[in-house]
Amino acid sequence: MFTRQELSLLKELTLREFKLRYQNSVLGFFWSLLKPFALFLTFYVVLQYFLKINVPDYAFFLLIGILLWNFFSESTTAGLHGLVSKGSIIKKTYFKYELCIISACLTAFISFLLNFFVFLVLLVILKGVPGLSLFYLPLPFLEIFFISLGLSFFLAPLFTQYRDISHVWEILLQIGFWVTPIAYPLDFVPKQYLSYYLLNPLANIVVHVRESILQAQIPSFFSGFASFILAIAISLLGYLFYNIKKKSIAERL
Amino acid sequence: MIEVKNLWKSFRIFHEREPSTLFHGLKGVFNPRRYEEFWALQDINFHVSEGEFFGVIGENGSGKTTLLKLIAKVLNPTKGSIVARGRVVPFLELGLGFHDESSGRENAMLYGQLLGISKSEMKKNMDELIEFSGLEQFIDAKLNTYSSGMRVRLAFSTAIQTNPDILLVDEVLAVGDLKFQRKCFDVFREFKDNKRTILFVSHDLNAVKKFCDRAMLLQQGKQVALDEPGYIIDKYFYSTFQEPSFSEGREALKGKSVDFRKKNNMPDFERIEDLKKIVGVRWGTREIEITQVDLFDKFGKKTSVFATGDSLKIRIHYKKHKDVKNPVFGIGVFYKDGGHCFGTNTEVENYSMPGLRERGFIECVIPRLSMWGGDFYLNVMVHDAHHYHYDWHNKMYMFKVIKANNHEQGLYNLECKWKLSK
Repeated sequence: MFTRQELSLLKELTLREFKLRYQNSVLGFFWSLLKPFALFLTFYVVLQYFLKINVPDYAFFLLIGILLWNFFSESTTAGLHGLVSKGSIIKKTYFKYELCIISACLTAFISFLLNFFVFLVLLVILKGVPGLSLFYLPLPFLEIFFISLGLSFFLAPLFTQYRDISHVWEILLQIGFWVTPIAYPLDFVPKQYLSYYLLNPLANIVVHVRESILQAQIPSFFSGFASFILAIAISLLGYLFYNIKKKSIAERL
Repeated sequence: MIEVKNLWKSFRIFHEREPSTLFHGLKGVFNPRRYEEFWALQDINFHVSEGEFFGVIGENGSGKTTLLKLIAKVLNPTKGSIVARGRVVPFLELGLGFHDESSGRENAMLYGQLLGISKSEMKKNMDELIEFSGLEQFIDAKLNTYSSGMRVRLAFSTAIQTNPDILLVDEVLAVGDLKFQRKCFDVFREFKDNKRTILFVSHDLNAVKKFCDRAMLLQQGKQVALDEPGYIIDKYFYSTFQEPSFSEGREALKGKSVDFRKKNNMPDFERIEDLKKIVGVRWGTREIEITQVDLFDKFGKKTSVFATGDSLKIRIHYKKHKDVKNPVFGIGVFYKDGGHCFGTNTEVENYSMPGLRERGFIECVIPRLSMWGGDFYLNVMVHDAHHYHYDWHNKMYMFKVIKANNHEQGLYNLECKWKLSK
């Protein structure tokens, strides 16, 4: 799909983006950590102490959800702006513009992995070494990455056409936070709505990640396979949509 | 090699100025917005072979940049085809708008890779690139500290380091300083020797003339002419510049008590000296009347726009009302912003005037307009040997001279030849 040259360009774009995010302040990495952790603290205090939510290991439970959600919202937002923010080069040179979208998502993904590593250290210190099921994690991580990428492939070309897509997406992200089991477990969802609820592709992924970290369980073959297929489908559809739209991108910028 | 065949490109110009939002997009499904097809390029056909230096000239908005963008694949043609064999490196619009927060070096690395050069090769060429750009001191400074000229220098240095088969250049020279321009021209020469193709869009007609093997003139998206650059530039000149307007002359006359253009009288001497300062007045006793004055360019076309070095023919039509002895026809050329430029007449030039017919014309040919550009007033007159004015058209005609060269100094292009003693 991409030549070696293009892959190296992708690497360059991603590293440049990543470096820029952190070079401006020594505390760059700290800031990228702070955002999900501050969100986590607020929710933890409110839900655990005010609303007295009853979920075992709620701190880790919530933190996993928030880290995943934070990645999803950051990568899709960056992906949405991926083409427009690079408008000045897209208008002047021809290259595979999708590299801009991919690099935006990759940058967010690297941040996420770093955040997750900090989370793992905390987990080991506070709770002990998790089980072998941890090795299952790359799969749901890749799934959520490809879902973000697929959605970005939809959003980025649309954003070149309709500049208010960014607001629409912000609203959808706000709603999405509450229709994904981030702050609460799946059992809290009324039984009659559960099958609709699970149409949200992120729901299963969040559950899978939690199970493999906190319960040393890997998902059933069916559930794992379903979310895998769903992720592939979303990214392929997104890429297809992008390919239909790509001819007119430079004209719209 | 570039082959462009029946190339058409249109953009949609929407009538209602609606913002590009989702809401309006959805509304548009049910109530399609009216738009006009704007043809930025219409039926363009040309072929550029290897090693050729091809110029594209035309006014702003004539489609030059669109053409380059199409060849660079940034835009897609509406109709027709473009084949470009080899690696095309575009250098479009001033510089690269890149990561302002990154250093010049990092930007050059990234830009090079965007243009399709591997990282290792870029690293290898980096020193040469920096030297060429002349930015040694600033290369590790952030891009946002660069001036626009520096940005262009960096971007252009990167573009040429990528060793393109086809280089598309859009107005680089406009921003670089003289030293850098000279370097660019050296590179162009080298490119030419190495059988590389360059497509060159510029308003620097001198550069086009100097470097291009052939050139194309675009006008409102249409390919008007394609030929050797000298011819194309001529065409461009004569098609671009508007005839000078006379409105000021009319303004100057307003409020003057006597309109001497209507009366056939001969004002007294002091009065004449005053009148000569006024644009667009006429006086004289009309024993011989100047009925019409036409200016012709070197193509024999009636015009009032000329290029430096071209010829100018003034044709003065007259009508004889009364037999007179030894009439003298004369002309005078004045700078519009003041200053007598040149004047002569048939007496000074020792032209022995045969007897005038009832009606006819006399021509004065200036084989070489040696002034560098400017707007000029023309006096045309006929008088007798003692300066008794039959018909004096004071600054009633205008013409424009366009400079064909950017290296002019002073007012005139005097002919000269150099010779070294042996």
